[in-house]
Amino acid sequence: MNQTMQESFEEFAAVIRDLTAVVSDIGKVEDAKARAASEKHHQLLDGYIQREQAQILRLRGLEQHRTRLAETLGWNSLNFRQILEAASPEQKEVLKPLFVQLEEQLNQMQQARKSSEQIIQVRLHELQVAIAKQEGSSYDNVGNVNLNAPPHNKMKDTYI
Amino acid sequence: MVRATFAGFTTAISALQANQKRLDISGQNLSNMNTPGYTRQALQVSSVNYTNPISHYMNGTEVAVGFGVHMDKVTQIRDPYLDVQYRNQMDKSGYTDAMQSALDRLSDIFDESHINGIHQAFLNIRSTLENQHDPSKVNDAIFESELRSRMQTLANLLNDASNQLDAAEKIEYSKLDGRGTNEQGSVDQINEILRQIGSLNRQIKQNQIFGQQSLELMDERNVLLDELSSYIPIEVTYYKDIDYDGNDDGIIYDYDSHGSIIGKRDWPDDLRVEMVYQDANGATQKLTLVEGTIGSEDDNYGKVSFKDEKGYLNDPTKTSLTFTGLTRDPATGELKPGKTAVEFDTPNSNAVGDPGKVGNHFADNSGSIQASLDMLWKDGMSAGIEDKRGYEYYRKELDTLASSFAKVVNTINQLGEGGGILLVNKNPADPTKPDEGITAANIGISVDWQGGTTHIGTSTDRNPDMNATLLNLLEAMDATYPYDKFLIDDGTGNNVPLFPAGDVNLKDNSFADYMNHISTILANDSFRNTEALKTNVTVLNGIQNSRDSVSGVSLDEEASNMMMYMSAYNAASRLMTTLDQALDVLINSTGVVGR
Repeated sequence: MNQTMQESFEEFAAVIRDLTAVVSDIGKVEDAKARAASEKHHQLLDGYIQREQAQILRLRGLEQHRTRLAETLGWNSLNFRQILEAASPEQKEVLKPLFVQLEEQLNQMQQARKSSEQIIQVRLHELQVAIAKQEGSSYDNVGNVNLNAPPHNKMKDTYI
Repeated sequence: MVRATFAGFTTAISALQANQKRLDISGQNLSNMNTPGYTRQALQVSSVNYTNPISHYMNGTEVAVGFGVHMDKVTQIRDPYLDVQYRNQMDKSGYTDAMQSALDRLSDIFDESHINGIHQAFLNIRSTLENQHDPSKVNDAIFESELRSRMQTLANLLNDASNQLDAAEKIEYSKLDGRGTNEQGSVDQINEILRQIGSLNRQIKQNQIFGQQSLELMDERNVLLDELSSYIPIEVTYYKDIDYDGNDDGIIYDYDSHGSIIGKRDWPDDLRVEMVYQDANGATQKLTLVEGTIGSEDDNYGKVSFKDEKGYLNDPTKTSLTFTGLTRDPATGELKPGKTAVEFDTPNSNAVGDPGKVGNHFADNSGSIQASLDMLWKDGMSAGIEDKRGYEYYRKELDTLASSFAKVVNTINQLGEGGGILLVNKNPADPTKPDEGITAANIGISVDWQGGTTHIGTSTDRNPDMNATLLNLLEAMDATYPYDKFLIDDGTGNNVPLFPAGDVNLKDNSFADYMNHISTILANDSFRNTEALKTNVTVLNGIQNSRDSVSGVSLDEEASNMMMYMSAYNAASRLMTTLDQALDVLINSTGVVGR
């Protein structure tokens, strides 16, 4: 491996480490979002979302950097598993633990994201139900709120 | 047309009865405020109007007024959306909770932050070697005995850790099986829940067809569904089966003796429970575990069992489960006779030509059953099952430590003059090769060393000093592996590493530090899971609070309802008095002139 390639490889490994750190941070923000929404501390959400947006911008920058370096190293459009197959034994030894850590952080971040999305959806549903009650609309027996339902839909004919 | 004389009284009576019923329901709600699983009840009413036929005695200008209020039914106040969200979250919390119990058990074995364990045992050996490496002490029996006892302590600790891992695996398995414990295992609990839901489906439907709402039974069923969702991922569907009178309009009509319709009710809903899992290709599949009220006895529900009826207590890592559900045509979704079995095999048992391939499984973080299976099945290393570090991961790490240490010590000692094998496999497959197949479970001190026929080596080919072997052992204790400073002649005059990276690799750790490395990995896993558990429990509580605000009984709300119903009751009573007065006027005071 020539010096340029070696430098690119080292830079690639550093970018993977940075990606892991950013993903970990996003996961923590998602956790905090989920807890804030669960405990109805909605005033905190704005701050968390701003923090998350900054991290996502950083993530995009790192991802572009990673793609460029992967092209230089001849790993264009390969996934982690394929990169490990294509890499030399020395490179594999360095990259494998980094990929494992990144994957673990990604999994954790996804789980935290699912939880925060779920509780935020529940809060939105509560809002919809509250609006529906104000406006005289209803929600059906699978929980979907129908804002256009007639307000007095309980009136009906009854045989006597 | 003249209005019926007592028409207004019917209206007033219906209002009195409805408000009386509402008060009764408030009483029922209040008395069950703290009953687990109880759902707030409310009276569903409708206005009674003229419908058909319009009387031909009516004149064209007459305005029809209704006849009061009709009590349709007592309903439960539930939000199905929140039920679905709650059960999804139960699923995740069930997984992380069960996973945390397992990780805590592992921490009991590997956390050496407060005790002198394997890490300290390695440091003690190093310290003894340092004290003994003076050439005058090399052949000193007292010093050699001290080293032997230090090695024995290390071997005992490794044996003990391995035994504790066995015990932890058995406890994990017992959570599924229940044998050897005083609690029901998860498998039996799931079967009991399915049986109860199947039976409740029949009771509830039968009661509802005869006009009983069976709300308390529905509460009981909802609690069981919540509980089931902590074990396995489920989807719950309410549906109407074919209407019994063939009208297929979802309504039951009541007829009089002349065949005229005298009443109608909704045809009761049936309940279906499906288990959601993923097949070997990662595609989402469903297995119907409960199907409404079809057939008789146990026809409407499935079960889960161990694939091997004898169980897997002797080797919990082989645990395989079989879920049996109702058979459904994959193309049409129609039910077919008989039941279908879905096997959750160990990753290696269905792996002919495809080692490590995972077969049927639940999605990541889905239910306590998958947590137990992940911990028993996955070793964090083999292809296909490397995504989770279960008990076998830690066992392999411990075995790597034991076998690497034995290999390094034995090899270095045998290179020394008069040195032999010091560490052995206590149960070797081939008694002539006691240093093969060494693991944490079987590592021990050689009988020859114990008996005094084998000793620590002295000089080596490369170093004539008496303490050469001890110095090598000391260097080996400080080295990080792979270590390429120990060299040996390969027979052709070339120096090659004595311990190639493929033979001894502790991921750049020394023996003592490798134990810390294992503990750190476990601590990281545990920390991540604890965080996930905290989030999951907080979200679950958030959804539970949201659900309680809809379905739970609120003291304030019931109190204000009672005041409102009492006012309405008073008003209806007042209406009756007023009507009575109007009737009095009509009968006693109307047309009296000239009497």
